[in-house]
Amino acid sequence: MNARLRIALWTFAIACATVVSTSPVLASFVQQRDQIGVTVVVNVTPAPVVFGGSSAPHGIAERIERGGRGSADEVSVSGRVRQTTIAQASAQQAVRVEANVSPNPNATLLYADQPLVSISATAGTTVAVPCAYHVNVHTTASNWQLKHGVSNDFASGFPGNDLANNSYLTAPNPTATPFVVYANDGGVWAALGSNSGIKTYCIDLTIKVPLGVAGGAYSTNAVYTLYW
Amino acid sequence: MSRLIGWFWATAMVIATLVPASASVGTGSTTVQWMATSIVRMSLTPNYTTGYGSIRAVFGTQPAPTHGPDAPAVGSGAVDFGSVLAGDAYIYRYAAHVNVFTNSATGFNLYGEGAAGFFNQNDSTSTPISQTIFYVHSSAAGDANTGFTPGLPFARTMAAVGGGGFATAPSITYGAYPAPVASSTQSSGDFYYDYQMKVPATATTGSYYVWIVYTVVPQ
Repeated sequence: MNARLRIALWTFAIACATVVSTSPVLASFVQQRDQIGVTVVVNVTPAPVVFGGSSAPHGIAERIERGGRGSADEVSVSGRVRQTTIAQASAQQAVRVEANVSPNPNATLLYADQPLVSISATAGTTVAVPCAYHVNVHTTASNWQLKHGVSNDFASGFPGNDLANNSYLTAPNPTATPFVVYANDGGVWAALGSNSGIKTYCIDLTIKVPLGVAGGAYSTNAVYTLYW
Repeated sequence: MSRLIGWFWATAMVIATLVPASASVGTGSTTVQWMATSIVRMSLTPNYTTGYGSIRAVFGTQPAPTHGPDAPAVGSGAVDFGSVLAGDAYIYRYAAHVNVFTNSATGFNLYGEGAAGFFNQNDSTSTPISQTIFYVHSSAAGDANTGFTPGLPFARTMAAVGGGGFATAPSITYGAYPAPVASSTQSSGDFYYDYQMKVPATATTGSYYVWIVYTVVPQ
């Protein structure tokens, strides 16, 4: 009788474990607890261009004149009639931005020490930034999961996964891994790690700027989501 | 006979002296130059269309926008995010529309900078605007930006700031201009912006404000 009871109890326990591991309802106990974004701005300098001769029809005198007149607003009609703006005017207006900030009990649950990282790079080159920022998980929860990715591409022709990360607690990984791009990769995040308690990740960034990217500022958001 | 020939030559010479010589055609250049006063006009419209307001940064379905009391109606007031939580991020849709009109044949640059840090009126602390307020390109209508749409930060100006306070817009006097937020090779243009706010986790409680100053200069 005792042995039968033991078998019955084991059977019941195994059945319960099966239900727990497969039930979507119970699986939903793992919830998103917080989500943050770190803005990554890449200031791109155009790749140097080798001068290959000019096909422009302008004469030397005209080019000298253009250089000499600077930014003056000049219109030439038939080469004989000119309008020259005599004063550099400007216009200015302003708008007020305001907010009422309240304390947030979850503000330090998941946070980064830098809300924005700015990287300067020349098109066609790769730039690495060691420990560009830290991501902190500040909870007593056990078995939390941290996921990450970037929200969007930088621009058309400048994909978000040209940004790679090497995220670690103590020692860097052997190689950096490109970020998944939430907007392009099926709306999912990649797992960064599972752990418990208070932890700080160091995030090394590596950006590879395609050669054809025009000069200017580009940005995306590195997004971190905490679950347990 | 010889007398007849003499008369003929004499008549011919008289006619030659009386008939005017044919006009000679030459070329020359005439330069006409006039001075024109530069025309530069800008209109800045906050909360420029219906649906303006603040939305907490989330992926997926976006909540309805809300706004604070200082953004009372379309086309007026301030970009008032209302109540926000420290550590959270927000987008403010349809924040500012800048219309530029000039007579510059070579276009213009539009500059946009913060006149100061994001100032807490309650305890006089500030957070850096370059880490708090961002701008995102928007449209006249149909905006689908979120708090996670990539934006670029406003910088605090390095130039001289005159006047200003909560109720009074300041002015910025530039010696050298910073990088523009927009450039155009046309003489006129429209620019639509959403704003994003990333409230620092360590921000103290209080009422914050900053003036964003737009300046347009012909190229």
